[in-house]
Amino acid sequence: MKDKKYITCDITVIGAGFAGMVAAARASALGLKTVQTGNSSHLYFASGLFDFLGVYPLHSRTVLQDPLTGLSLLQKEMPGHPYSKTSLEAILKSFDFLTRFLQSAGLNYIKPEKGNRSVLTSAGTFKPTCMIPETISKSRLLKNDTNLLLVDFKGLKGFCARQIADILKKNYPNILTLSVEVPGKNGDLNPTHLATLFEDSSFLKELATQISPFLDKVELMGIPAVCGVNKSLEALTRLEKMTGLDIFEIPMMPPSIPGLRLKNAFEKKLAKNKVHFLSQAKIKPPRFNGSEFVLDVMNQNMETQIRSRGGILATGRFPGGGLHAQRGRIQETVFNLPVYQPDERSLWHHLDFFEKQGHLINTAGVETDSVFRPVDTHGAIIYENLYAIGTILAHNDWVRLKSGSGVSALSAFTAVNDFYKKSTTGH
Amino acid sequence: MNFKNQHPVKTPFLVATGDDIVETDVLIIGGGVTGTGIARDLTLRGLNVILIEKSDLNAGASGGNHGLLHSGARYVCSDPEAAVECSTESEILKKNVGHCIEETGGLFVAVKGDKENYIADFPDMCKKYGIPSEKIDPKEAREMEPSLSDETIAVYKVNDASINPFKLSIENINDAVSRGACYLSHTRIEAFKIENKAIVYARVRNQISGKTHKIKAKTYVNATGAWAGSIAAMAGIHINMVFSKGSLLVTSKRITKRAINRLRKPTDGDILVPGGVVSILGTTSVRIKSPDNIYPTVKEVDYIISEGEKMIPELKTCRYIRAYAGVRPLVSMGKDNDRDVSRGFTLLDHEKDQVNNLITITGGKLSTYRLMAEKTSDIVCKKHQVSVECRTKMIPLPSTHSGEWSEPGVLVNDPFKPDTLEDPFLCECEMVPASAINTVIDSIKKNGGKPDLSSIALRTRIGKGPCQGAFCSMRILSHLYARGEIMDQTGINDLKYFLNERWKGEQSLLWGQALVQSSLKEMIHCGLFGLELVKK
Amino acid sequence: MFQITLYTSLILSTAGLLFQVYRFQKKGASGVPKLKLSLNLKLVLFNTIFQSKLFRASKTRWAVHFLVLSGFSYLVFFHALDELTAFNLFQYYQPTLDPFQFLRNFAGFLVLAGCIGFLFRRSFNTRIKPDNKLKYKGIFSIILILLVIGSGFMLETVKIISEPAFLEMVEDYSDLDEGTDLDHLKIYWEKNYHVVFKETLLITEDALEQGRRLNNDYCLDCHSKINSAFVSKAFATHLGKPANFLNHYRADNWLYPIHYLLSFLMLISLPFSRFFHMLLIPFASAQHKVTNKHFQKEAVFIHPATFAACTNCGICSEVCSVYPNFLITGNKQILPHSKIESARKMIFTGHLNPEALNQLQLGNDECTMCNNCTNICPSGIDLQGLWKTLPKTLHKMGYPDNYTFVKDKALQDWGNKELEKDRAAGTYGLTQNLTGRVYSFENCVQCTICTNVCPVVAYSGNDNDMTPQQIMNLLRLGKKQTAAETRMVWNCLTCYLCQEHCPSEIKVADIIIELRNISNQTAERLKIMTTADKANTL
Repeated sequence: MKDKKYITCDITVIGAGFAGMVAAARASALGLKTVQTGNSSHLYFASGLFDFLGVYPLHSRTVLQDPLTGLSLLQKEMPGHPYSKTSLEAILKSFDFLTRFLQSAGLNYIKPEKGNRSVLTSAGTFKPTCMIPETISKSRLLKNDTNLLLVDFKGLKGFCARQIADILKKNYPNILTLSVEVPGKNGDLNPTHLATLFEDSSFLKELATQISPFLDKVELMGIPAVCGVNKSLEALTRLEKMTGLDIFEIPMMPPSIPGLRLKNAFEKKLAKNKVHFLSQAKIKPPRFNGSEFVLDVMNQNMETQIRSRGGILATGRFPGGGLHAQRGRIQETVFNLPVYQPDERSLWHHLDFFEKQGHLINTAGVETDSVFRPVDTHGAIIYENLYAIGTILAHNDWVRLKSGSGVSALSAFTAVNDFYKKSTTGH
Repeated sequence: MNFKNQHPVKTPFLVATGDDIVETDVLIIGGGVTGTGIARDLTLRGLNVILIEKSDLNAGASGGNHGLLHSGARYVCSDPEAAVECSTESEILKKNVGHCIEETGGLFVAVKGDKENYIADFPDMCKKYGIPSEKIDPKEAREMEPSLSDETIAVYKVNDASINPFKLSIENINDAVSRGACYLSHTRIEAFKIENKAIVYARVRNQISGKTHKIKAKTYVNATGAWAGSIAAMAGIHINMVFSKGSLLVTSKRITKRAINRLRKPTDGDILVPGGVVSILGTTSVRIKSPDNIYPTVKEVDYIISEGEKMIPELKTCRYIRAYAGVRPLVSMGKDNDRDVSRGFTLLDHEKDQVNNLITITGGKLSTYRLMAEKTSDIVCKKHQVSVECRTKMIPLPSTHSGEWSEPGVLVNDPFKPDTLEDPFLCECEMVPASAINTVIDSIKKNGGKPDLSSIALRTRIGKGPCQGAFCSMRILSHLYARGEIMDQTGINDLKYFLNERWKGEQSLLWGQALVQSSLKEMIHCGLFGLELVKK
Repeated sequence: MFQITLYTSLILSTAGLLFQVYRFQKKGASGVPKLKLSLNLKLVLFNTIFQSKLFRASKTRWAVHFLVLSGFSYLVFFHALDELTAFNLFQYYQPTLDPFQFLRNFAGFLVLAGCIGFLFRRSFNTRIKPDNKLKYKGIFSIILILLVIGSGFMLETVKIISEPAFLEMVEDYSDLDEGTDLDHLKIYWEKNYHVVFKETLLITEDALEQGRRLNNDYCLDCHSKINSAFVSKAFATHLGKPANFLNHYRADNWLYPIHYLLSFLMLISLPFSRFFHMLLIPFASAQHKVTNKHFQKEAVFIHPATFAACTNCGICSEVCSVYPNFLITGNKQILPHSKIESARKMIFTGHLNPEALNQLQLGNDECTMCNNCTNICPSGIDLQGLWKTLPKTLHKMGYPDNYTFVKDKALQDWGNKELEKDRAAGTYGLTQNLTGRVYSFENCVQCTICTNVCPVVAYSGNDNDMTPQQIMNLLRLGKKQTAAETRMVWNCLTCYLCQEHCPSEIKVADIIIELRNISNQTAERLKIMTTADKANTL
């Protein structure tokens, strides 16, 4: 083993998922010396769509046309929910910051507008969301009588144009489908490999020639969300020029390319902002010495000791490793914080997977005060400068509420701002 | 004519006598191992047979069991008659349906605290009823099976084996169909028309198309297992059924090479059977009121594990993939404890109940399915005055291509060929390639079924791996749409149904990595696709 | 007599050459199809005349070779073939006239120096320890050169000192009779030409002057001063007493046939000894490199004559990338100069035993195709082309590479208990036992991120079978052997992208490397077992 390294910084962000990335972005933008640990490849699971609030109340099982109507009800009914700890203004500010940050990293998002947008998914369903990448934005042009051409690629598993068309044909009768064979690829076609091909102009040309005989009367085209990795918008625009059509991407199941674009954009810009990133670091139980957190982390056989005044816990839920469920109890894995959870395991899940209220385990998590500092069962703050953000927060069934990105962005933004305010005013 | 469309080739014997009446010799109701076994037995004796099943093969207890081919040793103290039956049957099956059986061998294991006198009596009883057993030194046993507890005090080796009930039913029905039988899945009995102490015809309804028609048979066999009582009730006969639910757990890997039984009076959580690449731990015995909508509860799961870990400590920490439950259909003899009710089968000729051409077969065990089919067929033949002897004892069950994919890890038994590249895996966990799915789809269509996720899952390993359908469900659904097997929006409901069926098997054991996997599944199917918002 | 031997040896030599050509053609055709490669004129020219590749490989070796080659070429053209060349080119040509006398001596001296260089390297070089047998492989040819040159010098020496020869010349080319004049000439020749006379001659100034005059009259047209024959002169002046003895027995007469017989022997041995490389190197250099295009054919082999050009100089082994592997495993067949020798034996004599073939196969498996050997080879042999084609040839003979071996043959043998035990005691790369513990791979959530980042999956197309996450699934399904037999395990670039990206933090790359090691070890062990079987059946 090599010698131990020592780093001192203002703030450590534990976790490199969406919330962790936003926190690191905000902290570095405010000029805080930031260290980040975690595994950014979890962003491959991100759809790339930023949700705000899609469904409320859950038992209504209806998409909110306007998230604000749901929000005011939610703030009234669920005081523990992260959205209830703050104002609408803060939520919008955090989205605004996120848009600007990603834009500076070369990834264009369409700003929120009044009401939820609905985005066509590869299952043939529409997902309510708030902010979307520009490459998906033209799905708004889809009207009931639009002549839409859906293109899929042979070998790209889980995306079938006929499936979407067949499911939608009741309301959208004018959908045509086309299955394209990628030359030289006769086996599995993996999304990233296909996405890389989209950045090759000869591939785009070949694709355009394959599609062009079928463009009669077609007004709009939908393709799987694999249109380029780092220059997605450019690739999409080029294909639009070649075909003379408006094109939009359709998000599909992981690994998600819009998620990969987010990962790349964050990583690129954070590195520029001099955020020190320790990849796949294993964190030993941290200590707090009265003024600083002391974290011993191991990555790639190298031990590093990080000392920082502030800590941001953005380790996610079960897939991210922030929460771990033993047979009877749920634990927080880094600081062993108290976890709000159902009394016994039989309450964790319903017998029906699609139960309208959602599964109770999804409301488990870390409870916090209004600036997202974890609190114990009596409501007392555990560490002055420790914040918990993102999906680890309790009372937020983000999957069912469609509130994941919103809560993550809001909590990250609020927590970092609070820490910054405290450190500049000298508290 | 509905049937003709579905079976353009395979149903030459079907004669339409009216608008919607089909005639046959025997109508078998219930597509479990017994029903399919009877279908094969009767076709081997030259009778025309139609088998109807309200959902699909092995939907009841035939699909909800250990897959343990008993040597008989388990029942040697409690039910010697069943023990002897098991012993002779298992030898016949090993000879004739070898491709559905893995001759694992079995161990009976006692740990500290188990009753001494049971352990002491066991070898004598085995000897008495002619069931081979061999005493093994616990130390040696732990070398044979390293996962055994170090508190093991006595071990006996027996001839237990594991049997794949799905493959068994698929192959039985495939063989019967090849001999002229007709299999109708998703077809439910609506009513019997009874005149002059006999059933004239049965009105059946196709669950998918909703169409009804009549089947006129000389004899009707009720092989519906736990539902035998309700079918008999349609003919006005009362059978006093008792339902006993047994829950089982599937581990993510095969823990032992052999089938392991606890050396004690049969009770809960004392059998661990290897099934291909996994092990199955069970069971419980809970009296329930209805055989429909059963599922394992969290309490049962925890109880089974706590019992199992005494024998094999690894069961406490290992990952579980799935829990499922089956219903033992028992005909009550007035005893309270379900385990005391004989596990032997019940064969009722309802001539005594004033319905001359209805026979009910229920109860019994997977291990004795062939014997049950034989005895039932004997009565049928007697009624038909057919004097052909049972031939399932002699003629081996052929193995077919569409049946082999129910076998775990079937592809990986063969050396890989480069052309598998053209044939992507649609299910990654269990490595089921597109070609296998296509074979199964064709076979389902040939039998008049509807190829959907659930029927494919029944015949292959899809959805049975750790991802429990999170990824493969969508990939296979897309594949079905791409092939034009589904052409409307029903695929979404199919997907929801399939995921929910998988979920019922998962929800009681979601902790650790299994919870990670199921969270991911919820993220994809609810978070992104919003399936919970799709209304029927 | 001279004519007869000359023509005999010429016939023999030509026959030998024809035989070799026939052999190459036959081996090339009957063994395995040989590659047709286009002509590389540039290299032929430079490498044949200037030995450009040797110059790049080793300056000292080039220098030594150049000494021998230039000296010998001169001797062949202007000495051995003087009747055809020098006599026609120069009207006044006499072998005993300067500058020819000097040049002959100088050329002989160069060859001698060069040969001593050869011998010196063979005796004192420390680098090429591995194959001592090969070290003295060309020694016959070197000694033959030494003998030819030595006999030449000895012939000249005895001619110088020969009194009978002197007297014969006097009789033939002068009108001098026995008497004072002859004595004067004798005195002059004894003094200046080192002829050794039986009687003692009284040397005076006057007699010398007389002798010089006579010499000018009769001899100088054909005899330059003996000083220019500096090597022979040195011998002659230091001969001492034996000189009389040699003169008495007319050594000049019988050394002459020895000299030419030795030369003819060289001629005859040309196609069968080290001398042959002089002809083969141009041939080898003329061949273009083997490219991947050539491998579309089923089994190919570069022309046998090509690698017959190898002189076992060992320079290739000095630059071999896997030389350290040889130090670890001790398998000589890792080193190119040993491999080519075995390949040569295999093709020409077919006398390699199973063990040797097995070693050759294992050694060749280690090759990283770095092309160092081809780049350096002074003979211009496309060594890497040979290493590329060799596996196919070996496969045909029943010695497949480890991957193919594991894939094709080992299935039934994998379960072998003894092997299992051996594998447990494995020495390298297996200490973590990741593949043996379910905890190291069962956390896979089937997200396929590893597959999506894998460059092998992205770029090797049909050459690859399983993806990283499918390997994890195979392990989970208990198919460790099958996993170890997949191409993926062997195609892996160990870039570690999969491992770095895995959200479940599975050590994907470590597991794949471990599988490769397991597979390799098993293959080697099974090979040793099957080799023993083959040897037994032989």
